[in-house]
Amino acid sequence: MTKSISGKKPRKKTERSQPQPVLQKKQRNRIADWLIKAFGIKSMIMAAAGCLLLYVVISENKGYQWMWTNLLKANWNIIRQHRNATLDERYQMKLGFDYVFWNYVKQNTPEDAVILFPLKEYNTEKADNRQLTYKTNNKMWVTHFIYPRRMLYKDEQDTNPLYKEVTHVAIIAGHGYEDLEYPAGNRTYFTVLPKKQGDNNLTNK
Amino acid sequence: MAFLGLFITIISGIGVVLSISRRLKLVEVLGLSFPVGMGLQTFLMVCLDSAGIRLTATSVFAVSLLITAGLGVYLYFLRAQLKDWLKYIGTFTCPRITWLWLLGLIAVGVVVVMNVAKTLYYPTFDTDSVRGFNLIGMAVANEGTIRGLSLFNDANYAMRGAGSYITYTPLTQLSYTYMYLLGFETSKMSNALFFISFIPVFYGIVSRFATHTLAALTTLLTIITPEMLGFSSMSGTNFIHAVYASSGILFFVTWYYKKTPSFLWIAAMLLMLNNWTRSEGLAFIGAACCLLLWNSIKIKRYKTLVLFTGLCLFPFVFWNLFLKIYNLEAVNAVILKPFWDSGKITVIITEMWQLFKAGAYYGISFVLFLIVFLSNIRAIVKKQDHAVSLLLLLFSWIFYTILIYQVDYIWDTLENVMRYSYKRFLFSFIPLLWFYIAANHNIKWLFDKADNFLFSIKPPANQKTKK
Repeated sequence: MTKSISGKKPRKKTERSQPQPVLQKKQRNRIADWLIKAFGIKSMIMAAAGCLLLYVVISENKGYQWMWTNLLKANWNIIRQHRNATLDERYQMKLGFDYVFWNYVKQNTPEDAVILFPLKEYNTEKADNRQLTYKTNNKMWVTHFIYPRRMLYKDEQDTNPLYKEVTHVAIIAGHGYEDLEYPAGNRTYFTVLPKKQGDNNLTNK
Repeated sequence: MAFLGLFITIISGIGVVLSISRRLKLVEVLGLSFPVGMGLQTFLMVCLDSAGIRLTATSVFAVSLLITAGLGVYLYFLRAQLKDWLKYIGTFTCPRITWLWLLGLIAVGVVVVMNVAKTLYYPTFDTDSVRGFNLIGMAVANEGTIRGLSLFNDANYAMRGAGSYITYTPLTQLSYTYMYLLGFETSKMSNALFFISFIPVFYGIVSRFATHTLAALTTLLTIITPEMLGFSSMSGTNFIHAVYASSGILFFVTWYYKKTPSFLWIAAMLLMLNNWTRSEGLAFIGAACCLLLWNSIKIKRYKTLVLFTGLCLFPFVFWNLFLKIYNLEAVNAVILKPFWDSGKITVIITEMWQLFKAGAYYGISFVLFLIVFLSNIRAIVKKQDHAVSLLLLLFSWIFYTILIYQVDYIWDTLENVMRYSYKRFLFSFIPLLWFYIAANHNIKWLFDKADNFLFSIKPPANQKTKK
């Protein structure tokens, strides 16, 4: 074992007495060099030029303008303003009165109901300042919102065997009362009523 | 339960992807995990239904757990290769990143957050989904069956007409069923996850051919394509189809140029799922098979071609067999005989031209592609630069246009089909156009120069003296 000039035993160097640097100097230089290259002035100039080019190209195109202003920004603002909206409210934002009416039909009929809608020509008629859109004339559209209830239009009364099984009648713009088997008292423009009096078993409620 | 279900789907996707290839980047594996897992899940649902087992959360979940466990066992036997893959992804060399790369990725992140928020916030409201895909998904979750579904079998819904939703291959619809079975309020989580998944896959593939800065910019410009971004937040099949079709074709291109055999089978799996999403996906399969046939003739080996074609066509055959066995066939509107109708051709060409020149739908995608293509003609002729990518684009576009031509539109006008269906089908081509824009000789040269300038890399001495 070697001894020091003073004759004392040299102290064993431990990791505790002399902590190793986390990164070697060479390694540190390499990372610094890489950072300078990646995010230095040249990179900044390139980024500025790239962003300017992209901005010019994108701002000149109507599609990108629509994408940013209408599609992303406008919807983002709506979402932030109505972040606690329920599913029903979110459906209403997109489908308006159509959804309100279809959902009303769903809530007020049993799951096994067969609902008769008026002649298609009446379904988009305006009444009491409210109006359903053309979507009500598409059976699959309406079925999506009233499922598993089934529906048919009065136009199909001679061709659709389901007509015999009708349990409820949708009243649209005041049309449909003539299909009830009883005289309706308090008449409203938009509602759903059982075909036979007192036949409204809401099995799903 | 809901998030556990998604977790199992993602894990099973990772299992399938790693069983096929251990040469993928980590971003590619993570990106492919949900689309592939969902493809597997929907296929299992059809199998369960065929076996007469009711589709409930428990039955679907149990089978996917079983399959995931099976994949786990299979991967255990491949553990040596998996260790190599872990080493491969572990030997991480810091990419040459720049401010432009960082800003590009931040912009991608902003678009993703805003678009996913929109996707999840609004419930399904677009026409095709409300009266078709989402309705079917919801009904299958409620009734627990596909073959006995009231919407398909009740004459009241008239689902047997030409072009009806019954004819669509079932991936999208059943992915919505899965979301409803897991207890989600709406099925939109599926659309959000498909959108998120596409980004790392596309970035991963492009960065194999271009610098990271260029890959980030290309990813941004692809996802902000206006019409495609708009539809990605809706419940239609088109964006989901674009994810499978474009990734499949891009992996095929990567297999061809990077000579990694396992990528061909990743491409086969993705093209298979492209066909499991929409029958028109046959156009992309046709294009890939043509190129593979040419390659097979060159090397005089046909086993790969037969296996690839068989795998890709399997979903189409399987689904049509399923419909036939359970008597769920709709009126066939495809004209199988060749014919000449100049009026139809005129309408197709006129409407197609309107779509290409309408910058509002696809942004600068088509214009920039054309400019880059024309400027690169010299390299294409002399070095066949990305000739395979261009041929795949051309073939799939021609095949799809032929498909459109061969259908007898008794339920709609050809003009409408071109303005809506064809317009949306072009989403699958957008990532391919941007891939070519990033990977072609001239743009690659430009960005390589910029990278070398930034990182002060001088060309080797022997290259310097060359003239």
